[in-house]
Amino acid sequence: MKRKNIGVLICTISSIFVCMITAFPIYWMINISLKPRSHVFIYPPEILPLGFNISSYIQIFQTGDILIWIKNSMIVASSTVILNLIAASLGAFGLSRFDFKINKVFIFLLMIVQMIAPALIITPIYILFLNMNLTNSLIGLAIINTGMTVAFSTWVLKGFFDNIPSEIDEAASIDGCSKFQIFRKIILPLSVPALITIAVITFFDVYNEYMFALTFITDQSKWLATVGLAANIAKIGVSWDIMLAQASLFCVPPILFFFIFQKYILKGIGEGALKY
Amino acid sequence: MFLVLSIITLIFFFPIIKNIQLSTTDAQFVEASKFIGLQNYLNVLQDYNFWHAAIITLIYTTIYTISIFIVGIITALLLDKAKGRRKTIFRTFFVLPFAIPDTAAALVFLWMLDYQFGILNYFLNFLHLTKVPVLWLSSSPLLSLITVISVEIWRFFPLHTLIIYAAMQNIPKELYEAAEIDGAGGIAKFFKITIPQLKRILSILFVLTIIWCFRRFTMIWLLTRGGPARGTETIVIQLYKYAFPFNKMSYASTIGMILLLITIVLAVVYFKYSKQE
Repeated sequence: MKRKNIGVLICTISSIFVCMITAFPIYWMINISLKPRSHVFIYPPEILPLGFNISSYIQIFQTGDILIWIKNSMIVASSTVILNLIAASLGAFGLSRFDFKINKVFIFLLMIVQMIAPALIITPIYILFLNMNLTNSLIGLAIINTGMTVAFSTWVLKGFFDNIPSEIDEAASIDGCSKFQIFRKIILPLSVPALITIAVITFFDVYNEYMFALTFITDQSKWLATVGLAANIAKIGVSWDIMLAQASLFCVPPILFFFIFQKYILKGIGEGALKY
Repeated sequence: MFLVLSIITLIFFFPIIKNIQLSTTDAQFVEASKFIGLQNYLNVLQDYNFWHAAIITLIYTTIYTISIFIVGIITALLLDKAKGRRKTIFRTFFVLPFAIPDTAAALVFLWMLDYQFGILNYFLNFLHLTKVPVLWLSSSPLLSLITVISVEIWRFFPLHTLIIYAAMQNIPKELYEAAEIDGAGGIAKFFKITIPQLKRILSILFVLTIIWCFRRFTMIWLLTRGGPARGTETIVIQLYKYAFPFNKMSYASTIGMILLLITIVLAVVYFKYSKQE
């Protein structure tokens, strides 16, 4: 019995250690952003917070850049989520409920599409977007991000739709529902949890996306927050308290979503991710 | 539905076809270009830098995959052993890095790894592990690569933890009870029951992790831009460098096509694994 207790103790201590490692950088980001500038460049670093000094936040709110960038990021991410949900739910419904011979080919293609590195298609997409005047446009970014994320969503949703018994469809079609009505009135309401899961995961993906945003947007007023933040690294004279205050602000939406939708995220990753 | 699917695949496959076409020309940027056949492929394959990047990608993938599996399995075991409210709290903390965007994480780590004011050097000095501050990201290529990998593991391990943890919940409890009756200890149970039971999911995850390695861009780009001395320049970073700062579109496309071939081979392997149910 005693040996078991020691085992539990070791596990708990190691878990707390892991928690500290995961939480420390986040704590550090907020800690530095709340320090007066004279205390940022100091050695040895002060580990405990000095209290709330919000001068760096006041400064970034006055400049206002970061707010515009976060707004742009939110626009791109939310429009991608909407486009993604429409395309993925229709696509998954088609794959799950219709018996086309070509479905198998589509399933294989979707899988390959998911695995391809985004960098691989960046040159052709760039040329395509230049020809279509979609560079420097948030809509263009939303379109390419939808392309990058829709395969995963379709996969997850297809798995979910497959588990909805087809007897429900049959009963509905006897009552005179068309295929589209079945989709809209039965399948969609039943799969709200799955829709939330893929919406949140897509949002995280797109909000985090950097390479396309960096390449396709050159107009500074249309920058996404990821590009804006990263540009600070190369700029001389931007102080770390400002940078990390911007980074903290940028992290607020995903962290909020993370805590609100934690249940769906955990379920979606743990169980959904390996279904495909 | 059929139409939507066709459009999706077309949208995605158009770039690839365009890429094939592009890789057979001598396009520098967007101006007119002429067909040069497979010349680009020959050039890439004879390019010392390409092979260097390929080796870096190989080292990166190996170290990353092995370490993230070790971290993932250990953290999943820890979660599995925790009970009640502690489990919920630990799980929330373990998954926390998942919510932090790459760019924000890269910024914090750049500051934490700073030569002069970084907290990591301070800790190591405080514990008397190092005498002089370490230049984590700009001294030796191998050290930079390992640093970048560590930061990426911090950012991405929750995915592995959650997947392995979810799979652990599906192992029948009777197996452990039977083993306990036979007098098996914790380590024996882990190697004789947990690992064999997880074998299928671990092997799928293994192939996926390798494929994901080929997608990583943001973290490496922001932390080191491929340096020092090309020490962290993976194929993806090299492709991007050729395409944008250097404007060698066709050359970048060719590298992309080679990457695509590797991905397809891996995808087929993956497909075979996941079919064996």
